[in-house]
Amino acid sequence: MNHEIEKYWQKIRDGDEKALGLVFKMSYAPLCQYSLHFTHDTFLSQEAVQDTFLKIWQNRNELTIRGSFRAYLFQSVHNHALNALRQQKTNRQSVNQPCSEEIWQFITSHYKVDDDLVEMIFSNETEQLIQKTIKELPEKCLRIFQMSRYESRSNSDIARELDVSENTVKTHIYRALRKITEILKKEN
Amino acid sequence: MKMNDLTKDDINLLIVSYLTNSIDCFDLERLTFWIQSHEDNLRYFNLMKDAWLLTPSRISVSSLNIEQTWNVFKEKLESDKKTGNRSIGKNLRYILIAASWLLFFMIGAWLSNYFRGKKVIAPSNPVTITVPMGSRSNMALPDGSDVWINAGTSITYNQDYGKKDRIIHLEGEAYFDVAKDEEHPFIVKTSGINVQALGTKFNVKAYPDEKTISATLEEGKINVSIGDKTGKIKTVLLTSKEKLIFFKATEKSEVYTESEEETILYKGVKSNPVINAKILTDVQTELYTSWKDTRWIIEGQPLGILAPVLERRYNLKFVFYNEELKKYKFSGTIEKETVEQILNAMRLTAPLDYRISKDTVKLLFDKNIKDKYGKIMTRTN
Repeated sequence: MNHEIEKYWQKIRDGDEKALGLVFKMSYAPLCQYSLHFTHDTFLSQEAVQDTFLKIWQNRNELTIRGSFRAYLFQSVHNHALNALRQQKTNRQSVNQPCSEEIWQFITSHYKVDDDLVEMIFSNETEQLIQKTIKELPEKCLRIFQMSRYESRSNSDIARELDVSENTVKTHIYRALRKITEILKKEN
Repeated sequence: MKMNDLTKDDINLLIVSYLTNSIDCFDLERLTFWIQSHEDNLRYFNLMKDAWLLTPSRISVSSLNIEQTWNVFKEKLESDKKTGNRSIGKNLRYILIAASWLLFFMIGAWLSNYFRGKKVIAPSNPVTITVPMGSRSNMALPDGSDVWINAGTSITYNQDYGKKDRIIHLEGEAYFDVAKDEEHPFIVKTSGINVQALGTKFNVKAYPDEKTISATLEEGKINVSIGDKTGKIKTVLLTSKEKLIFFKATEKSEVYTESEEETILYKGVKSNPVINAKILTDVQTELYTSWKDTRWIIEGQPLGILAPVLERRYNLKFVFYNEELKKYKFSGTIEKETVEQILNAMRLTAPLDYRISKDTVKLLFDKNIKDKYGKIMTRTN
């Protein structure tokens, strides 16, 4: 996805469905990839992207976009993904108490996406750095992290397969993440 | 609430629980309080979150089917533009408006004839009955024959119905219980075949968007006329419990076989298969006619065939996110079940998952089952 999409926003505002189609086709894959980071579910991630485009189209007359259209797309997909996640959570937690509105508000508002992060997600350099870091992890830590992050397996699932406790799984994920945060610190 | 006694380890576990989507509300609340309690905490949380966001599994772009997704999406935009939502109230209003216009024209026609001093003649406008998606209807024709009309169907007959013969034009599916009247043949005309009956009970299915037209005879005898490849009309006689399937397209191969167990006979045209049709004998007719009853029976139907039927019955649109699902077969009896209840029942026997939003049902491969299989499947990562 490149910066070409900026010029399409004005056309979309004017009701140009073709322009919407172009942006849709151009950005669908990266946006799905992005929302997958939150939702863990390819279906939900696609839904979030489609909802975003639907909302943009419906509200195109009232919508003011500050900053780049690209960043706006990412931020809205982000919000839609979180909403979808939240709905799914409340659906599944019919037995438990649903989370309070304020908590979600807080999480949503503090879970900000900035252009830098978007840039990093699609940067090959960062990707290579991360791969390098991950390869240096201790064997068990690496295995658990890969299962969690690359195979989208749940903690309980991993714990069952490797015959360890769920807390052990979480601890290993935490260790892997801490390693990666070191790259981030260096980059900033 | 006491929050300060959380250790560093507790916090890290909470954050990982949050990121791996396995946190419960109580812990989420604890985590939120911790994040809010100090700016450094927020910074730490964000750093962990960014690390997490940077290491996802990669979506395979080809699996997204972008072109097709856009086409489905575009339809959604258009239907949104047109009506917003189609309620029965709206349909009824349209019918009423149409009816009032019809009345207006009829009075107008009558008046103009009246003032010209001519005798008023019965208008020869055909009568059309349309049953919208999501509903079914049962009515009596002028000669006392009964007709059950399935969803998304229209039938048309002329004002002179019953004078010489009884001709019905059908687009969609209907079941006829024909009143006996040997002097006035009863004929159902479709875009591919014509069915002529005396006094019998039969079902004709002729939806324009389907590849086949079929006639199923419950009792009595019917004559089915089909145009063959040379343009001549061939007539096939069906006796009770027989079903004729006519293939609109020339290639039979791409049509789902409805039931392989059933005997397939090319009656009359055995040595000369110029007619694009097959005849099934000894069929369980209720499988094809029970849509009109309170108990609708389904047996061994692949989802690919069932989906359009359910679409019409419930006025929904089914979107397959996985083509494989079309091959799974289902059996059952449907009474007053909602579409959710049906889909949930299907989930017991097939790796099916679904999401309903507005009037679209998205069908996908069940992720949990896929995950189980995931271990033995090769991965591309």
